[in-house]
Amino acid sequence: MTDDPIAALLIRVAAQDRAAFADIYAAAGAKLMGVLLRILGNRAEAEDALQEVFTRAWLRAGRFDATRGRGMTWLITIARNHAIDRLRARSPQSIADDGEAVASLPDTGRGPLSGLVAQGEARRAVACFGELDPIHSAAVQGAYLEGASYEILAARHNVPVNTMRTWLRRSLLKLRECLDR
Amino acid sequence: MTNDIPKQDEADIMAAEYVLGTLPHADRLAAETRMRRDAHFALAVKRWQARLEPLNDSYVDAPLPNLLPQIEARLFGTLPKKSPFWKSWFAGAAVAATLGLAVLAFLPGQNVQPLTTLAAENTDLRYDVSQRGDDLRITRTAGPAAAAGQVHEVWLIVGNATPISLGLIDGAALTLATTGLAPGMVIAISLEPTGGSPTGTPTGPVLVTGVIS
Repeated sequence: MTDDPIAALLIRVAAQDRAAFADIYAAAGAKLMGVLLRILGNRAEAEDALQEVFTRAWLRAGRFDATRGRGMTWLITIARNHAIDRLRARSPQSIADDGEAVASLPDTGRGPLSGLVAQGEARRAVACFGELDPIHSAAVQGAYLEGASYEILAARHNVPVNTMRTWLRRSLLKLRECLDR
Repeated sequence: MTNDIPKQDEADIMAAEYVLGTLPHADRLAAETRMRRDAHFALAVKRWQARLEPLNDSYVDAPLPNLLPQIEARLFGTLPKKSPFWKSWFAGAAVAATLGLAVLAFLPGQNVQPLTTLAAENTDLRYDVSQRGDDLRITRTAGPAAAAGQVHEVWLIVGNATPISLGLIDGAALTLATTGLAPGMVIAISLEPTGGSPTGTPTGPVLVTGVIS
């Protein structure tokens, strides 16, 4: 708890402490904005989503349990869920448009995890992702970090949607086996 | 489901796909409903969140605009003086809700704090909304449940902001982990297809509404 200032602030927010709420905005807002921008790819929508995320954080702070996870993780989960809900709720036409736009982004050839300073749990995660086929690993990370759908990932990797679904499911089972080891 | 995934893994794979974010919208909503009802499934989701959490380190900070004043206005601010858009959904619903509250105020309180009654003039449908500790409870007290193929969806509306879905009511009641509701916020129930609104905002008719007192 002492090394988790966001958790301490969330506990105060659960007690309706508005000053703590403002402190959380200052401390966590930039990271959450990063999450929303990465998934939604559009600053105006990310800013709209950020307001929703902080509204939900205020309303749900009473259920944050500092013994079961870090405060920032809890906030990122709210942000990811909200951003992915927005993506999935877009019209089929806009999904098709996004699919083309995202699929045409150049592949930097650098997996997101390669930028990690791997410590503890993160080091284990790097090792387990390293046991996957590199293409499958990139697909799993693309799904998680960008909210990419099966359709978008399939287009990006130029495989049928069912093949992508099978890749990801098999990868998830392998990750579970490795991470729970 | 592909035939090479063992059957006992199917629920866990669904939990993983929910956390990963790859499920289509209707399946995401179904997974969220299942999390509320199925403790094993909810635990599976939590475990997947923990497994994939290290990926969060790959998110980088982005420039943060100062949206705090707007957020605080939504949560704590004064309601707009002009008629907010939700009132056009159902004229008279707010008046009915106020009348419902007047009756509720005479009921014994115990630990349950009644917040509002959701009602409208041309329907018998009524929902009571109350707070007990961290739980917000929304209970149908009169009128029919949604017909087959449909569901009642609960929305929170703050000021003129886009409604926020609080969840789906398949039976007679819904309990939500929600605190921080403030006077002036509006709770509404809309009629949606099974699985909830496909767009994330109300698509069906708004049946009843009430204002938190």
